[in-house]
Amino acid sequence: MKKLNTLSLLGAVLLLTVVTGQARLNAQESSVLKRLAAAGDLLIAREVDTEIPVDGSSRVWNKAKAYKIPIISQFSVAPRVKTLDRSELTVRVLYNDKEIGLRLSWKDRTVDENVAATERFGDAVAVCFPMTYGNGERLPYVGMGDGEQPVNIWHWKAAWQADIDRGFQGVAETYVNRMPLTTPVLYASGPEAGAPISQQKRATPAENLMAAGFGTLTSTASAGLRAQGVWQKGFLKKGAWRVVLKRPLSPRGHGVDIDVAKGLLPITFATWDGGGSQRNGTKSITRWRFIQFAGKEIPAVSLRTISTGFSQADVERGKRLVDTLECIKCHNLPGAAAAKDVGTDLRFTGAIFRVDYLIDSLKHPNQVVVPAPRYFTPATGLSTMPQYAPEDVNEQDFQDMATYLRTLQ
Amino acid sequence: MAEVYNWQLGRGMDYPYEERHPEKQFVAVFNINRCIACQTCSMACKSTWTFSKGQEYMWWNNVESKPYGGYPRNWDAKILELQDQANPEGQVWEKDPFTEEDVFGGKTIFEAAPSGEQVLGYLPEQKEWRTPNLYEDTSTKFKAKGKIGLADGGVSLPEHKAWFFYLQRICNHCTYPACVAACPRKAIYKRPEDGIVLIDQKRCRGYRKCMEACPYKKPMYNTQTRVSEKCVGCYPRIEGKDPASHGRPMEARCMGACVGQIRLQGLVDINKDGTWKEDPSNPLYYMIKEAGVALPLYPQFGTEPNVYYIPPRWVPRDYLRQMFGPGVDTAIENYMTPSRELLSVLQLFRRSQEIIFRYEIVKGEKVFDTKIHGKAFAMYNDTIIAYGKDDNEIFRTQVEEPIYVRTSERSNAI
Repeated sequence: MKKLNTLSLLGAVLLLTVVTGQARLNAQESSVLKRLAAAGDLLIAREVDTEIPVDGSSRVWNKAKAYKIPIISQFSVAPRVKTLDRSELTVRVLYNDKEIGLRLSWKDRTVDENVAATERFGDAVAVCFPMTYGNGERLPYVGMGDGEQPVNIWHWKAAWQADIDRGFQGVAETYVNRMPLTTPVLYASGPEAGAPISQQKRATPAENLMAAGFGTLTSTASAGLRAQGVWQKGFLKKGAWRVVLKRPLSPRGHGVDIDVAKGLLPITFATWDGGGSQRNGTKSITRWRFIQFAGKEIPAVSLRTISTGFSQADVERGKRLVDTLECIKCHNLPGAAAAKDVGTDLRFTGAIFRVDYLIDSLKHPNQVVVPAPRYFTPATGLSTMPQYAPEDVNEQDFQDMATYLRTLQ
Repeated sequence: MAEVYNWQLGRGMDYPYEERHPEKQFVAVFNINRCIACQTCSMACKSTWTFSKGQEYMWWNNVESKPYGGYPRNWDAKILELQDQANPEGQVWEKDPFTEEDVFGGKTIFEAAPSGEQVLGYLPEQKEWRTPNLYEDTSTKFKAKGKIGLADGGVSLPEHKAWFFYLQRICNHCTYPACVAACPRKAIYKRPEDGIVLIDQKRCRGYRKCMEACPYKKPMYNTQTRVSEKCVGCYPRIEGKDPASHGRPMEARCMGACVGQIRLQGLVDINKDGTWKEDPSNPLYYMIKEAGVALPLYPQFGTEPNVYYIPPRWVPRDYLRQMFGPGVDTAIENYMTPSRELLSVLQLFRRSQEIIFRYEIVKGEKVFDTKIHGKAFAMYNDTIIAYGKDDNEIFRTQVEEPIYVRTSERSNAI
């Protein structure tokens, strides 16, 4: 993803007023907030004067409002989930003057917490924040951020939780009475190379990670990140994970510096079902949403680049344009006869992309390049998607198409 | 997706990355005809690299019996079946009408990749790695109703031609590795100095996409460290860092330990475009490119593997053609009645552990001539001299092995 002028993101959010830090929101800005709330994109964090409990069963969590966020299989780019799954992630957010905490729960039939076999993968959940936000920056690419907008990821792993709760779950613990090799370990390449995945002693079941695009995920110091996950058996074959993730607002250089005075904090979520061999890009995801710190004023600048749609857009016309421009030749779209694998899969675009990202990638395909090898020509760095000339496709056309794609979810 | 040239297929093919080739390439020739499946290679590898907790089922080098064996279980049959399902009846070789060369007309594992994946493959389960060699030389599951599985009156089985052979397998250090193509972490890389493919143990996050993608199933998951590992081509020895190597490039452990003297490994010079620099005095170049006696394993996968096999003489040809491509008949013919030079080069196997960079032949007397399968063959007692990296003479040997007769007082010595 290359340079992008975010100020070109006009539309319903066009803010002509010169904004100052604590200015009251004008009618237009207030309507952005209302529309965000109506779209389910606003998660209000409740302020508490006590410590935020890492124990998810604590009654303190009842103070936060529960939001049910639709979460959908990552189908957009390879490697993608093969069978589409829709689910819900329930989110509660609390904060105090030092910390922020999230309680996440989602349904998962099986506990997948042992990874000591070739075919076993662990359940996991992650939250992702842009490293910089609230000053008019555009949002990072929803999948792992991008070169210009890095992200901070807090990744809780069921396998690590089991390591902490019951001791490291290695070969001897998994294959009881099966005689694992008992040779003294002279070296083990993973731990010796410093692989974060290979460490046997951990303080927390969550990994603090930085990323700036696909394949760049890098473990960093935990920065006080704490987590606790519990699987609760439900009625019949149902069950659910409930995971608390909490961290000091300031991570001292190892992650996003959360400033409640900015009013809004962009956030996105992901879950992995180990039983379905999910790991890496095979997961369920959501589009960018926003935590609103209850009781804090929202400076207008925080709203500047948040687009909620275009007042003049015509969805039907957008669909016709998508048909006329034959997007279906490369992209998978509803009603496509066979899976197209040249471009990204667009069938459920609205569930994971915001309208501002869609319009940017339509208008500037060579600047908004999905950072996986198959979506651009390695020699030139140019997207495989054609750039439309302004005389062929105008501003209104882009708005209509983006709005149509936004409805696909 | 870029287009790269795969000389083993005689055509260009799709690959996620642009062509970029190492200066030299780790290449080996395994002579299947000579293998006795003693597994000394497997043990040499295991005792060097995979003796720790978490590596219980890990055999970077393994020897399996074909056609029934496979480690992991049925790995090749499974990949071939997946390829066939993706391109039914299409996995065939064709003759180019102009160049007369064989061109693969089917789909490689990259070209047949399902939607949303870089490579066509599957992830073997733990149990498939657990019992290498078990039951693989048992050609029938016959069990009668009797008490201990024996029929009362005895049975007679239909007469059939039995055949089997041993297949020696290490990582192929492919020119277009499927593991590299599939790794979303870009944690796997091919070394520019020798083409050895390695997994960066620090970058790996144990996603096992490499295990799923590699058609030869040579990256393996360490259940204790939770990251994947693979054959490292004994790179410290290739670099001359083994204390026994005196600073000179040395062959990998599995090669050096080979009792049957079936293995020869070295380095070949590679051009910028990926073609091999013409170098007929390099024994590997000679056997693979000039004598046409050694062939890649399952070239139709499309990864351009760099371990080459002299196919077994006695195995049905259609089976071998599926396994080693269309060059099988020529290779066997050339091996059965070897040319004067080839017979000399075959003597280079396992006289030393130092990598042979060049050989010279000093002509000797004719020993005898005869006919093999109707083809004239003459044997000469030529001397072949092997040279190392610094053009140092490593050893010299003769086609006819010298015979030593014990003196009478030691005639019964062991």
